[in-house]
Amino acid sequence: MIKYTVQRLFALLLTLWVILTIAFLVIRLMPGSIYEDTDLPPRLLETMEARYQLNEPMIVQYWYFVQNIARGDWGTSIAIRVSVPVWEVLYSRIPVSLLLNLLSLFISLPIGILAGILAALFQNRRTDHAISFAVVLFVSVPSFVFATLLQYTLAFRFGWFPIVYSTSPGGTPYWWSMILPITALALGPIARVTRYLRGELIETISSDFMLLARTKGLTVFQATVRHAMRNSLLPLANIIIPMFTSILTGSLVIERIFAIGGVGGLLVNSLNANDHPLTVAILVFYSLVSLLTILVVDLSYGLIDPRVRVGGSKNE
Amino acid sequence: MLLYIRKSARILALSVLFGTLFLGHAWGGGGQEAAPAQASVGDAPSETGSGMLRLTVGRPLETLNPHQQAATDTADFLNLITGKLYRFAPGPGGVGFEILSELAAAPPVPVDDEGTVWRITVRDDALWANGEPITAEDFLYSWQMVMDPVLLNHRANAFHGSQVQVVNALEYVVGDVSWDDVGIDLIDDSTFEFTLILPVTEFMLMNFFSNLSVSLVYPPLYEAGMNADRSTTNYGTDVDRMVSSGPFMVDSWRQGSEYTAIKNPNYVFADRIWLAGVNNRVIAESGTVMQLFERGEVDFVELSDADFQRFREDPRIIEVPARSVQRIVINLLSTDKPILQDVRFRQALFFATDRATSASVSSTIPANYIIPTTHVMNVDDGTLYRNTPEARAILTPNLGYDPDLARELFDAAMADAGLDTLSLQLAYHEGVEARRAVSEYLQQHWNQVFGGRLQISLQAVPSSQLAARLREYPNNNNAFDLGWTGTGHDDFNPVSALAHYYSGTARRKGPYFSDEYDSLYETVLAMPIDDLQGRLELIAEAERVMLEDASFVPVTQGLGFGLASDRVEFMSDGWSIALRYGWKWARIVD
Repeated sequence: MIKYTVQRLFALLLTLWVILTIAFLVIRLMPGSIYEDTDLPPRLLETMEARYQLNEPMIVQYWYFVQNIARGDWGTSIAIRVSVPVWEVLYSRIPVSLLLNLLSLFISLPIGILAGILAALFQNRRTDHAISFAVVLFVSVPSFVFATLLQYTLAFRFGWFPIVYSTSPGGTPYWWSMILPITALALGPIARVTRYLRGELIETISSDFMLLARTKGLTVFQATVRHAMRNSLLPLANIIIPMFTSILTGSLVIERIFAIGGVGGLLVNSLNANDHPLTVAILVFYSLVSLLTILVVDLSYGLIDPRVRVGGSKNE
Repeated sequence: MLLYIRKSARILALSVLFGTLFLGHAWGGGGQEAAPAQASVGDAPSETGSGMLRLTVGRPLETLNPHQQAATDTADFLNLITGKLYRFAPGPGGVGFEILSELAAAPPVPVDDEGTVWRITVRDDALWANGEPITAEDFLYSWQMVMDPVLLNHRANAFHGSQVQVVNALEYVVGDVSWDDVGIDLIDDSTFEFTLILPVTEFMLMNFFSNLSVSLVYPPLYEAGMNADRSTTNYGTDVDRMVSSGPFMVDSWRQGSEYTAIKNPNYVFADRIWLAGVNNRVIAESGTVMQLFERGEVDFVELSDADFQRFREDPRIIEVPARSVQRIVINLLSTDKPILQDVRFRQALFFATDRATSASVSSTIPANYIIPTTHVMNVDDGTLYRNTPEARAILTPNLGYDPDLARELFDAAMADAGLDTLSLQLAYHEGVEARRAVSEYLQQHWNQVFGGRLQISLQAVPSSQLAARLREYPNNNNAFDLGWTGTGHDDFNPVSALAHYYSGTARRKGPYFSDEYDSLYETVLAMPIDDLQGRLELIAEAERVMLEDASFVPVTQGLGFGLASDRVEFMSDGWSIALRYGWKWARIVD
């Protein structure tokens, strides 16, 4: 297991380096200058661009970039928060994005599991049809559409919730303002968990050991919760972690709609402002989250099912 | 035709509106210092002010350092909290404007007859928000730092503008001369002497020193924030890393979401500031801002086209003309499409452009000119450049729309090029509804005018990348065929609108080369500043040269609409060139 973990970690670092290189090249090759001022005299413009080695060939720029990163210097923001180290800019925005995404995930799990059980137990009946309809709706309609609808109806028309996220952390108004964005983000994951669990449970319920459980006198509900759920929840664990990455990406638009000062808006702004160091850092952050997610999933496979452990001895 | 008359009437109305603002302005005695005016409405403001103005902005605050700001939203906020030598303020009774000697003791004093050497004395009673006195040394430090050749601030060209150019300022930034050679000298404890390359008027200098780029930074914190090699400072990267000196001071800054300024009781003209503070909430989604406004949670909203239709009869509507003309740049260096080098083809596009309809589909005003209607030619009587006979004389009739002439020119150019049909790509700003609407209209309209022989394909491009593409010509002759552009300038100096096309400017708005134009530009910059008529004639001539060359097809001048809540009472007449919305002078009437 240790060898397997080390191999996966090495693969992660290699992938991250490739991503970093591609991000650097793509961003530096994009048209646009960090100095958009059209009135700069040519000599001054040359001097200012030389400061960031923008006058050097791409390979030389890349070498400077590599050297700086090796020293732990990722540069400072040049447009979004001028002269502030890029990771400091990110750190100031990550907590709210993380909170939003984790809460969405935590809320979506119990609701999705409950809905999945109900749909499986009442297969092909009204309850199942209603849940399946909601699942199709939540999976096929993007989260930002729900966000807009929720904001317009519940916040603007009825006034039950704040229209935008509260900037004062803590207290009832703050948490109240989080409800709509979290709901908008959670609908998709709820649908995915429900659909997955329903499928797993229906298959399990029809197996022989469930028939045995019923003949022993258990009710359908008891047999499902005590026996079928155990088998179905293990594979579910493997979709939960990747869902986090999925929610994180989805929150880009949700943050914009509810004016949440998270990482999502930062990426769009830094791209538009040609803030190259910050854009690279954000891309690395997203890549790192995705790669870590994949790593955790890979390792959890081994923990959940010893048969899939790579590099393990035959006796294990 | 009716549409044309309506649009023309709108231009006329706007011109009259701006003219009125200038005719009504008060100078504080023809250039003498304006005494702090008494409040024109109700009681005097309290020490802490009353009522919080709640605004929204599209982008987060980027810095609190005036040397590094670039975005408009950031500049607007820094204008609230940063002290300057001079500042525009509403005129007496809210009519027009006046220029306050904010941190200067008096207006600039000319030393020579040409208008190239001036003296300005700093006030001795001005304070930082922390209570310390503001000194001439603070200004000197701020100016030296903005031009520092190692720091290379975003605003390092502050003293090398189009008209106000301090001797050796540019040479100092690029490291050719020492600070002692720069034309800024402190001749006593509180008086500066400026030596300029080009002659300027008193107004030009006061206008220049009302700019953010040449405003104050707090020296102790600026120095404390320097890194080891003095190549950067963390001044203004957080609330506790700067000190305010303007009408307001920073109260809070929540990264990415909100920032607030409160009234600065130490401000020289604190008795003219009514507001307790200004809160800016960062909200990028225009629909969200509209909902907040309708729920009374913010005090101002910029209206989208759709929202404008809903509110067009609302008396609270504020009309805001864009300070630039939206024009299509033609790539006259294209080797893929050499016909673009043919002036007849470019003129064909100019005359085939129905500007009245283009303006109609985009809620803008038609423009067959390069210098916008907002530019003032004579600041003494408020004469707008576009209202002068010289500027009118160069305009083509019917807003420059002549489809018959366009077809004639097009046919001749196509015949010489041996082409039956031609396909061109028009790049427009992604996310700008007005630009998309006009592009789509011109796509079908030009096709119609030229009998189906000109096919236009459209491409939406992010703004910064579109600008870069238009400037790519030194390295790539075929970076674009046609592309939209438009830039604001110094409204009090029409010459500034010509600077973007001068060959001595680094990042021009597209490939344009004309020795005749360059010569006219250089001449108008160097001529006596009081020769208004001579300057006017040269500016008009330069604009004519550019229009005839048709490297740019001017189409529209933007028109924005804002809606302010009833709780806001302006101290000026809505939006104006000098004061914009004049938020800092407004008051809340809850």
